[in-house]
Amino acid sequence: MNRRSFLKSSTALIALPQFASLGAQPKQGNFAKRIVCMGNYLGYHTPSFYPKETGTGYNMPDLLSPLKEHRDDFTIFSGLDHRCKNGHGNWDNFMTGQNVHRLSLDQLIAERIGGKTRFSSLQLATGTEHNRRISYTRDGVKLPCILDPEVLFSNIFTSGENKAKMKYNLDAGKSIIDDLIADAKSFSRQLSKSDKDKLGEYLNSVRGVEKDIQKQKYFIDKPLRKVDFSMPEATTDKLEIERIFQDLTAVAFETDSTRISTLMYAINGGTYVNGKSRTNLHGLSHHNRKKKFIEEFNLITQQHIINLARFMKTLKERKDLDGKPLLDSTILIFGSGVGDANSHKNSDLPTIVAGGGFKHGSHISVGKDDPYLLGDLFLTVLHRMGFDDSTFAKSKNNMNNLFKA
Amino acid sequence: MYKYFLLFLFCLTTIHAEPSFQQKFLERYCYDCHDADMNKGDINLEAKNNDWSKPKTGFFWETVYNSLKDSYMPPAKKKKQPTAEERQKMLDILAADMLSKQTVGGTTLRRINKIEFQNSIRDIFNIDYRLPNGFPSDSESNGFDNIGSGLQLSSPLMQKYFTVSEELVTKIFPNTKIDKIPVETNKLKAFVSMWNSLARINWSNGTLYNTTTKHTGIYEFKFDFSYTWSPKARFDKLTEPVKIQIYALPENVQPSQNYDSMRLLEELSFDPDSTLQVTKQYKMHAGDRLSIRWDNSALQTQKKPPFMSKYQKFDMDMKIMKEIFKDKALYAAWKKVTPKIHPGPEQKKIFAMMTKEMASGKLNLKDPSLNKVRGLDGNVRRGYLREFLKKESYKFGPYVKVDIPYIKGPIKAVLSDDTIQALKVQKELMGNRGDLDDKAYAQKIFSKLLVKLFRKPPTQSQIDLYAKIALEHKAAGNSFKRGLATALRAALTSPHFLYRAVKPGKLDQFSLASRLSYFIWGSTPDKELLDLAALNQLSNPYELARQTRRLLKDSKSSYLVNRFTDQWLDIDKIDFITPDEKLIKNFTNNLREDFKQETRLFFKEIMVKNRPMEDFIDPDFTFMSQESKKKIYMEGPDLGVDVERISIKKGGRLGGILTQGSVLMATANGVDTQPIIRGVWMVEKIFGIHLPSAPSDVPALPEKPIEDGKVQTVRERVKEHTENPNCYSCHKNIDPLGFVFENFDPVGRFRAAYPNEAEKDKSKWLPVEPKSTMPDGTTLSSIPELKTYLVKNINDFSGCVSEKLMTFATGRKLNFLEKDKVKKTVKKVNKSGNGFQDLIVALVQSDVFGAK
Repeated sequence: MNRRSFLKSSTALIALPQFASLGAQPKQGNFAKRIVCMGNYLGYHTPSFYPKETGTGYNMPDLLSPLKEHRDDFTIFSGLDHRCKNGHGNWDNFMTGQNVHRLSLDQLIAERIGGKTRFSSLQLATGTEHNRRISYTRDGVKLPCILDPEVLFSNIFTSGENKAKMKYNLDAGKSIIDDLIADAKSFSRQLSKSDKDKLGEYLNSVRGVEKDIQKQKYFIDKPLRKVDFSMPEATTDKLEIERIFQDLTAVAFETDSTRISTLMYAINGGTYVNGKSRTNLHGLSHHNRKKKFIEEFNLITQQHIINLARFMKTLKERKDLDGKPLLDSTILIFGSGVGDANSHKNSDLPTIVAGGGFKHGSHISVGKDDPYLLGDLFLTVLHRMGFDDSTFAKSKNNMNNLFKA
Repeated sequence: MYKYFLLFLFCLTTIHAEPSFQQKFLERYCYDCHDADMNKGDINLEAKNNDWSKPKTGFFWETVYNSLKDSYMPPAKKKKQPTAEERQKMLDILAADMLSKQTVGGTTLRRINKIEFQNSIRDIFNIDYRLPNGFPSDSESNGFDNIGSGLQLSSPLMQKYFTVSEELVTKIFPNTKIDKIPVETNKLKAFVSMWNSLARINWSNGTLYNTTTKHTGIYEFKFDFSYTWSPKARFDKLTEPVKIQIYALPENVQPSQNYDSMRLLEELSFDPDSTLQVTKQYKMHAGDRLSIRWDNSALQTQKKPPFMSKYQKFDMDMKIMKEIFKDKALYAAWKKVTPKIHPGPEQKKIFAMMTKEMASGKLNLKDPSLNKVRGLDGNVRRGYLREFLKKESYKFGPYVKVDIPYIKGPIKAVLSDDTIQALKVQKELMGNRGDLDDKAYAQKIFSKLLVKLFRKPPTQSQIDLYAKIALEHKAAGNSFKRGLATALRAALTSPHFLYRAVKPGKLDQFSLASRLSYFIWGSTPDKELLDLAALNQLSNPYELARQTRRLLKDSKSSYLVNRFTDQWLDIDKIDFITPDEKLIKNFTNNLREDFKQETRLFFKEIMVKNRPMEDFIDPDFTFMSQESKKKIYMEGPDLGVDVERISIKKGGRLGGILTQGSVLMATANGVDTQPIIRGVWMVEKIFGIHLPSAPSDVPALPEKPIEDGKVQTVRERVKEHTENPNCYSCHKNIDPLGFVFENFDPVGRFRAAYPNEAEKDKSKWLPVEPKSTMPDGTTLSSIPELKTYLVKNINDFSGCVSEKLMTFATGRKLNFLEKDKVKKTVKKVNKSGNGFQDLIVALVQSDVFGAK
């Protein structure tokens, strides 16, 4: 495909040029349209997370009790994992289905449908993201995260008076792209072969920016759907930032600014629960099965569950263009790349899936008899979004028969 | 047959019908697990690991070498073990092989990281520059955030580069057109303060007024000041003139932060018995607000900005304390809210007074009536007292009433200070046009500018390219300046700017200049370095040494000091550790900052003064602050507010990186200590041995110290490490080092016994047993003994630091050959005084540093 060529969109919903057309397009029909993946990097205390019973009649564990009112809108999975190496290095593999530095589920979907919206996908993180990221491109590049809700807010709601300036900058930016590529080519001549590969990151990134500029130019004059949202006061409380990010994700979905979002909870300090600053979560995650530490660890990680319940409520209250709750057509994946953090295990990953039109309300436990991978669940998620993939990362079996629409 | 073929390639031995020694060795001791079929731990010794052009081949054999050398392999559980002679022979063969086949160099194309970008912009344009909040941080690789292979580029990051370049050129080429803006006159409605609606100030922190000026220009203010005092006031009436200071506070700056960016507009004073009505004109920037400060208020904090000093919590001076002293209830409350652990000299006096009063029976702090103070009963917390006094004086005085009847402006529109600054930068950038046409002028500008941006003289085609961008932009209907701005924007996102150390092999002069300046300054080479490079002089060892010493002496070397110590010693971890409150009350951010500062100043002193490497371990000086002395180190002279250098005796507990609060805190989790974590830290950070990762089936250190009613010691809990030979092979190196540190708690305080909440009788607390035996048989029973041990083996330590420094400098993991060269450099420097600066210089002069 010519780098500059435009394709007319095949979906006639809105006349939108196709900005990225990598890979399969979703089938038409009653499929989920959006996906949001939320991970934490220290896992949960799995004995507190999993219900003792399986199926629909399970008793809600205390840790998950904040989700009670949404019981019929989510499913708990236990026993899934990626069967990868254990240890710190692999904490971020939650969405990859294999080791880190491989294409993550969200970016696979972004390759295909990211071109339809102003932002192909959002990567958000609370706390210090440094090495904690869960979105990886096909080239294995960790995508940086937005850490400041203000930044996300101003990205979604561009003020009108800056539009002329923005347009000018977009045009100026666009005008230099070809020169940069020419410059990079002359640069490349001095490089060794492996460095030429490394420079591929540069060229891909510049082309990515070019696509993005085209897209921004297209969207700059498109009116943003009016939504009811006001930005809260700035805060340093990471759990509050988590809530604001979740609200903004819902708003981004509602305005169809994006259909793909990931949120990484990278809290370690700077967390307040019940008005008290909580000591470092990493220390607590190595609870050594000490009751006091487990309780404290659960108290802090349960805040993510409380926020999840709140977020599900938000996704029910906010409506899509058809006036239906966003949650109906949004798949929400909640979990971690770590099972039991105490032993550094990256297996048996606690996972919750909500929304997206699945039949929910049960606890699906797969274990030795049903050796499913988390990637198998991702395949089912892909199918629910209208894709036909038969493999994802190491996975070849979907879970369609266990987890139905 | 395949194996024979492999060995032919691997050892470059001639083909024998008889298998060689090394093949027999591998077959006999290794292939059980590490042949192509078993491939345990992804180590297949049968595979064709002979492509030495790939760095991973070298690292593969180095892993094999290390496993053999440190006896991790073959695992102890295997019955077949090589004899010591066999092992040594195999090691010699492997070493010889790596040394003969590896080459120096091989850094992956290195992008400048976040800090380097920021520093480069600062130095290229000579401006204050900070990347905006939300600019992505870099990933760490091999322990540092400036390693080629770890520094990836993605399209979201590229978008950020586009955005910040765009913002930067807008800053340098601002809109200088001054629009005619209608003059507005506003009456001040209300102003923002803690007690929202009161137009009164009663303390010396700046109080913010709702006076935002929309445009940059001259504004006129009318002020009306008066002083109020009533006999009910807790503080005496002022006997000197009221001193008022008026500041402008830039947009987005809160009064409680960043006082550096506040501008003092005027100081006024008036007699307390009269009032002051004045009309003033000030230059204001768009978004500025006024902050007014009563300098000699009773509720004094600091004399001048920054008001929020690190000792702000003790901000009430004696004057206030004496007032408090008149009211016993306030006194009692003050005692509750003021920490005793670290009182300043003022507080000490008051505590002394208080003790005296209590002894005489005049003051009984347990008197329940003392808990009932107006507004002070209930939950008294630190800082509350000040708020209470503030609130009270809003009512009864003393306070200054401030009225601003009107603000008028902009009477005259003027350029903002930023614009004036930008015009200076622009002028420097553009030079004199003379009678050049646009094209020649643009070429002239870029030939000068691109040297700085690309860190080497640009080629003619590069100059042409950027001049062309400028001219094309102009041709599209924009000004020449906007054209320059656009071309500059492009240059800032060019691979020539974003990447460095390009050509394989020995670094050219300019790449050498860059490597040196990014190593020490984290920034672009300055004119002197570039000039020397242009003259082909920089690689001259004498010149290289001179330049290295010059850069180290410069204040910009704080980059090396801060970033290297943070990452080498894991000190950046302490930002994310909040010590358990049960362990230490009042662990403050100041203390955390002092910890970092202590390590940095310590490192800097050894570096700048060229002190011997042994000083890292056992020096006769150390750094501490009053707070860290009081709370952590428990010894040393009285100190002031800052972290200071003090002299100590060698051979003691204090002194050296091992017992600095920063390190001891970073190697614990804020709750308890685990000898294994500190042991691993010692092995990796001090001895420089990279440990294989722990097997995945290892449970964490069992916490429960009490089992079957019997208290388990830390040693008992890890006894499997010594009993199980599989654990022992690694842990013999780790655990003894960790145990020696058990005398230090998670924040670095010395302890002879483990505190036990449940046990009141301290003599029954479990004693710390630091005694351990190193694998070479040395017994260590305390930190001073460990220090002696390290000083005796100082080359091991120097080798470790050097290897890390070189990784930090070159952006790559060193291979076996390079490590060997570094070790030789270390030995050489040790023979001539072992100075740290000499070592850095020698490393910079080595071919390891000088290869791409």
